[in-house]
Amino acid sequence: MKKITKNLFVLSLLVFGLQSCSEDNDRPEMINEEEVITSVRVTLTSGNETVSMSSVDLDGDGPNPPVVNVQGNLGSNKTYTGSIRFLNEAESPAEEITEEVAEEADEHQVFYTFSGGISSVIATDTDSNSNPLGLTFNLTTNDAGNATLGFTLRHEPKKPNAGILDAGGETDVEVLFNVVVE
Amino acid sequence: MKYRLLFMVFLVFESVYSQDCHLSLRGKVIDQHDKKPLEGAIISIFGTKKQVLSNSEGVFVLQGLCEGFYELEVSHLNCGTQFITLQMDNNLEKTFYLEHHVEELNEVALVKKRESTPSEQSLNAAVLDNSAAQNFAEALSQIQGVSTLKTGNSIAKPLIQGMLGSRVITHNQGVRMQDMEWGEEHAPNIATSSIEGVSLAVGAKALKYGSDAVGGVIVLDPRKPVFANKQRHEFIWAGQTNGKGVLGSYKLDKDFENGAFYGLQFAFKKSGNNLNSQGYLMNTGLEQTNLSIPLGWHKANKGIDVYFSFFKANNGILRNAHIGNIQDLINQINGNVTSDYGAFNYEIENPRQDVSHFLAKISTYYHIPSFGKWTFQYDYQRNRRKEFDIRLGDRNKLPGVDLQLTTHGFQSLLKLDTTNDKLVEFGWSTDYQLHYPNPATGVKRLIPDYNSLNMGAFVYGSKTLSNALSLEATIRTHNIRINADKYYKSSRWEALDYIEDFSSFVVEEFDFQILTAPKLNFQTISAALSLHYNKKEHKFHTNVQYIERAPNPAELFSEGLHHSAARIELGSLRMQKEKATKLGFQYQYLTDKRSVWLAPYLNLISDYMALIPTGVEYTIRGAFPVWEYQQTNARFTGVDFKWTEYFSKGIQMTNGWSVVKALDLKRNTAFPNIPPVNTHHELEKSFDKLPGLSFQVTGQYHFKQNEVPDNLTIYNPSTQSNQTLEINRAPNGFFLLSSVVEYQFPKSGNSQYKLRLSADNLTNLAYQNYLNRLRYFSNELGRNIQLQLQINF
Repeated sequence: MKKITKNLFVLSLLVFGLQSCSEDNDRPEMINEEEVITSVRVTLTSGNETVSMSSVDLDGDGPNPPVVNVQGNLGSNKTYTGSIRFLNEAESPAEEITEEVAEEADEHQVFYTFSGGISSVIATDTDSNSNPLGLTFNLTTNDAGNATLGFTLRHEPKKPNAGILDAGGETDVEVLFNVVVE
Repeated sequence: MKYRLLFMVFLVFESVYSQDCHLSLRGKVIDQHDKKPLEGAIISIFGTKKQVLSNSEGVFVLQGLCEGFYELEVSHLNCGTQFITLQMDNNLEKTFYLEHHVEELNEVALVKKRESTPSEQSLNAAVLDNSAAQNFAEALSQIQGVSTLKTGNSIAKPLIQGMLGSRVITHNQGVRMQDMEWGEEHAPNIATSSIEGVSLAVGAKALKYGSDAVGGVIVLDPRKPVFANKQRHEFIWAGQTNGKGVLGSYKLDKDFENGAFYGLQFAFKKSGNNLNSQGYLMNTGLEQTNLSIPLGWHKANKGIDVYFSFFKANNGILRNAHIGNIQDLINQINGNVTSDYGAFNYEIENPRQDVSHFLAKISTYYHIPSFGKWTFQYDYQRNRRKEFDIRLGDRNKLPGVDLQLTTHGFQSLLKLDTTNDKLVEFGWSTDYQLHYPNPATGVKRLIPDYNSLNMGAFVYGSKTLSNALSLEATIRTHNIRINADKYYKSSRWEALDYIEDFSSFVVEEFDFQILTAPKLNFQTISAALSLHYNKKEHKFHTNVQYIERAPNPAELFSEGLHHSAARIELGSLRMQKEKATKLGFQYQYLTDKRSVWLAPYLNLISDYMALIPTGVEYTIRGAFPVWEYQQTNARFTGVDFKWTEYFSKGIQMTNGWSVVKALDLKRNTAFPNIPPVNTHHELEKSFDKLPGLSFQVTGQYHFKQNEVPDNLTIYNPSTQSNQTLEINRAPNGFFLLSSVVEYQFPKSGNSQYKLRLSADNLTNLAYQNYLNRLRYFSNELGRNIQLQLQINF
């Protein structure tokens, strides 16, 4: 019986010995979240005219709200060609996340919400299944006035869909700009 | 020195043996509580190999004894051990009383006969075998007063009298389970089929198991030897229609006459997408494996126990519960999005949770003559939890959460040799814990790197004042040191006003982050007093306890976005320990015909740590509600009630009720996740002419929870309006019907077969459960029929 006890001890020592290799824990590595989108940059052009907008949130899920900036006013009754970019500007150099979205076009879609002086926003690019992707679009204005323009990037929405409420999926980006149509 | 002493003791016995020895001791072992003889009590003479068992009349005879001084150890499987010193001059007759019920009060687990001793706060092996296919928390909810908080269908945590997480301790095989219990979506890592018996400990007894247990202690019984050459096998196979799930479980128990034993237990469980009354719920499969090996050797005066267990689970998380921001959640809750139903399959895709738990323990005991029984234990645990989210590109293969918690535990217990009517125990414990969040996730750590050292000590005493009255008391103290290394967002560090208050923690500042090394220290003192009074078939227990609990890592360090809940959660370095004063009263009435259990309680907690919504923050992903751990004062009141009538002709009826009310006294509002009032009614029929056959029908009604916290109002920039997030809306009450037919075949030779057919949610009701965190996304499961075969041989 003593032998059994002894064997038990040896066995357990062996197991504990194997299991107790712990991690070196002096100073943990800093994590820079690569896939975080800190910035949305929208450019609208019509001829020589360019209107640009940005929403930048460098602290991500920190307490500071995004800084929203709109440069220039839209002209009335015009059509603009637009593009939207997603970046991680907490890194240097900034990481272009637009490319990753484009690579996985069939798992993403940019949705538009608008009101006031904007009459339509329509995607001009498609994914491999000919469903809209929305990184580039045409925007049409009508009469002068205030307008809002919102962009929502959804990951894994239902495709095709009948608009944002039908699409499901998860929201990666949701921004809203207040613009003036003059 | 100790060894030399021992050696001398042996020498003395050797010399005694050489004398002319012809005396005998005839004894009778009696259960102190019901005065019935105890069969199978082990009587051994310390320092010799002499050992006998009491027969069915409780009688034993020890022969060939010499004149002189003897130390006897009398023990029984269901009772404590007693040490008695005897002077042998002539042949002796003596009666021994074993403290069956005082010793194991409130934690009687190995119930001999269900009819004669139902303990309302425990589940025996037979009940657990029937529940083999359920998860641990669900099996536990058969105890009156225990509910489950679920995340989907596969992840469930036990809720005891309205409390969960760090406030509920699970004590498995003498080891406190260390398994990230602070997370609402982290279930205990225990396979139901690996458990021999389980009970809920309360009062002074419970405080022996550990601090923090403001809610209660779940005690899983360790394997005990049977002191006979026996080999038992148990196979359980179960299949169920919902999710096309299967369970296979095998258990081997091998015992030897000399007190040695070993065992092997293995279980595997798998199921696919679950079905509710509307369709298949996408990605709700699960896979679970566990293996455990108990071994040991028990002698009268010394023994050793070794236990290994490994548990692994891969749980799919309902696909459409995965949301990106609060707008997605509002759309879901307000019903703007129709649930996605898919086809059946067994695939488990992202989002999913992958958890594993390894446990190893070794414990030894030694009885020091005329002093006491000393136990020493070392245990090792490793708990790993990975969560896989839906991420961009190849990152899908990387977990978004990857936490590893390693614990080394040492404990020592000394049970003094005392007279029959009192018991004194001392214990100390030291736990060293290391938490390592893997940075390879590329996602900010949910819980930071930390190590902690928790040192504790307790004293327990019990005293029998008269045949009817006994008293127990425990006092316990802990010192907890936590050293963490955490990166805070610079903006968050500033917003929380930490700059001035905690500047000493700062190690280095970077562009957007700040590395800190918080060092925290907590000292707790807890005490409990239990009073037991028996009068014939009436038993009264009163428990008064004061328990202090130190904050857990989530309460201290949480910082950032919880994707699965679409909320920002913030801990606080300012957290102080919480202090709970609980008064509990239990009344039990027990005859052959009737069993009544009534247990009201009042729990007043100051500095209660609660996760409370405090505002909204805006990010580029949209708006998120902010939930902060704050300290408030809380009052929990409730009552658990169960009544069983045993009629003639094998008819048995049970009615149970659980009511709990929880109030935030500072803000005068309710807390979330408090179980609504629920009741169940059970009817069971067995047959004298066909023993082994039984039918059971159970109806349970869960009322609507009327006491819920306020909903949140959130400004939606897209629509430029305020929207209500009805996150605390309680679903309607529901009535569930289930039934069981069971047939236990007559024993043939050594083997016993049992067939069990059960059906849950018989009416295929479409309902939502307030205690399911994913209730916004889908209805609960529909009808489930399960067939289970159990073979024992």
